[in-house]
Amino acid sequence: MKVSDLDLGEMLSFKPDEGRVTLAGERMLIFRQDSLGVLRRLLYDQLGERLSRSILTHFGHQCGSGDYATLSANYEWETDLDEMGAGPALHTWEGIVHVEPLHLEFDRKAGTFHMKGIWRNSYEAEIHRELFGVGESPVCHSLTGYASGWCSGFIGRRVIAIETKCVGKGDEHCEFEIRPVEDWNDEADAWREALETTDYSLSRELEAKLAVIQEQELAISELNTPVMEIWDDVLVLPIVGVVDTRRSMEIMNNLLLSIEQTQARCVIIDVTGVEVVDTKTADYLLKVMRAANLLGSRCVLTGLSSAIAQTLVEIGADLSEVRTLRNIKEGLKDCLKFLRAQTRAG
Amino acid sequence: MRRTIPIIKLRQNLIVSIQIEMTDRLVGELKENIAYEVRAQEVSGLVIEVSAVDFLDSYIARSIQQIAKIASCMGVETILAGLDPSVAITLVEMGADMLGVQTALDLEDALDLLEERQAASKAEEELVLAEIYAQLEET
Repeated sequence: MKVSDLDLGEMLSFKPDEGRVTLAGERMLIFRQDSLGVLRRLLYDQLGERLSRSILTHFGHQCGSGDYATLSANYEWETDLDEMGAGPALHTWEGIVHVEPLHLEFDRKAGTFHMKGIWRNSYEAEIHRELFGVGESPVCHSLTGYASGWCSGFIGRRVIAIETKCVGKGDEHCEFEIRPVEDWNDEADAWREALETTDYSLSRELEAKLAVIQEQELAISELNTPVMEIWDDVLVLPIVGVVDTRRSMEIMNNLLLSIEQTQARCVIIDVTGVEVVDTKTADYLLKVMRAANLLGSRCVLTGLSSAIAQTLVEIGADLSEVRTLRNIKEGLKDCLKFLRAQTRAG
Repeated sequence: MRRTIPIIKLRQNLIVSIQIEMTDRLVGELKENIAYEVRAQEVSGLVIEVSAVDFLDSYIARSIQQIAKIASCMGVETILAGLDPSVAITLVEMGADMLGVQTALDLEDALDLLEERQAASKAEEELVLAEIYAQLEET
């Protein structure tokens, strides 16, 4: 059989009674182009460019290597050239793209291979341009995949097809070049990587990230706020991290419980470890301090950083009712003086 | 040349003497620098000396108040020293009160005031410590 004899219309058998279309016994499928467009858009939207490219390339590769296996096993080809040429011809017949070979030389024994050609009417470039407009890089991933698959099957070693021109990036037509993987320099890296089966999986990565987040959540929730009694009648509450509603409730409960248990007359709230403060945080802190005051404890706030001090003043947070001191050391001194004065007075 | 206002540390206090015309940019910068120094240096007082200033607008007046509040957040007391009588009158007439900022006649006065307080605080501290040591020896 010669390439010129190839007629997919005759080779395909339509079996409506079975609901099948077959090519030499292999089931073939016919899709609408716009439905593949939807699939492509979803792939790009949900998986990103790199993964979509890899998936499309693998898809094309299977089409090419599968077609080669079917055609070489079921038909007698007169020459190697006919067997090889059946690939581009079938690609054309399948309505994927119109292939015009410009240059083809190979030696099956030596395993050398080089092919160049023009692709016209690439369905892939058509839908890609429709979906995403003209881009900066070639887009016919399933086509290069097909060419790589077919030619690898034919020559019996790994061959990579790349696209040098593409309608998807604004060229008039697409152009491809095919060489064994070892003959390429780094210009074919993107196509080679797309074909390499990696262990990368988006869902696995997401699961791993999720696990990390859960771990961190656990760690954060365990970052409770201890209340320590550092002196007779003096409690210290060091706050680290972000103070939100949930946290502030915890802090308040913790502190009030400790005050009740120890009957401490002084509380030092140290915020050296608090990075950011907004009106809400300031408000929470004030509430905690007011609540402590209601129980009869005197509160001092220590360790405000210069940035936080500036923010508080700029947003007009009212800290006038609060005794603020430089650091925990000054706070303790202040409390001790207060306690002494109280004892004296009492 | 970019002009900045120097912040000088003298014993327990920071001294800022304003001797150039205050622009809004300069005031903003000063606010930030003072906030930084107050945190970085082991001080307990801040004196803003304004005897060379013959004009204070409401923005600068408010900024000085803010500086005092920021310093107070970090446990440092602020005294405004050497307010010119004419400036004082303008401030009062503008209604820009200096509430919350303590004032002193001049730098000397301000430092005296601060040192007096620091000495008193120190003395009290020592008393507390003495009592604590006494308690510790008992137990």
